[in-house]
Amino acid sequence: VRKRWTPCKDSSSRVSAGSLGGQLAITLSKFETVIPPDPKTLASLRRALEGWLDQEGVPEPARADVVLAAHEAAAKAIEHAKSTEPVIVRAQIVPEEAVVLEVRSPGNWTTQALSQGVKLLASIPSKLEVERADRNTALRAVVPL
Amino acid sequence: MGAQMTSLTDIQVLHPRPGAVVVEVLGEHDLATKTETWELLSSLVDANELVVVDVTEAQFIDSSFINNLINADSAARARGSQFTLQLGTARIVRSAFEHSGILMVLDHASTREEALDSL
Repeated sequence: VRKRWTPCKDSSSRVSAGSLGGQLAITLSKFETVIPPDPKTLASLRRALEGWLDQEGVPEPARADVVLAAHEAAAKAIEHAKSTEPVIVRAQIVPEEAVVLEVRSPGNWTTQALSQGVKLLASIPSKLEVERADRNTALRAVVPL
Repeated sequence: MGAQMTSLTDIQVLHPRPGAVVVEVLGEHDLATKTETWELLSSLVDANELVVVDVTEAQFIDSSFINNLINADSAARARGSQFTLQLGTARIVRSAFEHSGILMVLDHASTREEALDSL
């Protein structure tokens, strides 16, 4: 299954991810939102993501963990990137497996290794990756369902 | 029991007895209110022998709020007073506390009575 993000603003969608051996079609549901780099926008991010997870039937405790991880990553980007560029938050459900989360923003905002936010963020997902390229940082987290 | 509203939305400060204060945390608390929350906790720790932070009705807290709790607990220990967390039940609040590991560090109680008896 190839996962590909499509640029959109404050949206969620379902895309066909093709077939496996011509037998099984998998539908991936996606979420994407763009927020200004202002801590006051974090509440609206949480609500939008919570609404999408609810709509998709993601159960607890995964739902709470996804919202918490997205919030922590976005808060970190806002607090430490010192950028006026927006923060992009994407999420995608891999059915019966996980929610894959990506938070992307300009700057290098993942270096505060000992902060409480990093400890909390690192403890939530089963997999956490950081990619830095073209002066952007993207943090990807996989939260199991 | 006296009650005092703070400049922070969704936080109420109660004075159940002299030298003891209860900070009732309602609603959502994150990076946006980090500084104001610290100023409030810091001033209450400076002026009381017991500070209880009750998150029973909180709907969301993040690492910046947890960091304030850790700093307030350190300040209380430094002046020889008691800082106790009264735990809530909202799933996302519980998740934040569990993932942060803060419950291994902070004194906590599950009822108001237990929290007020922690001094």
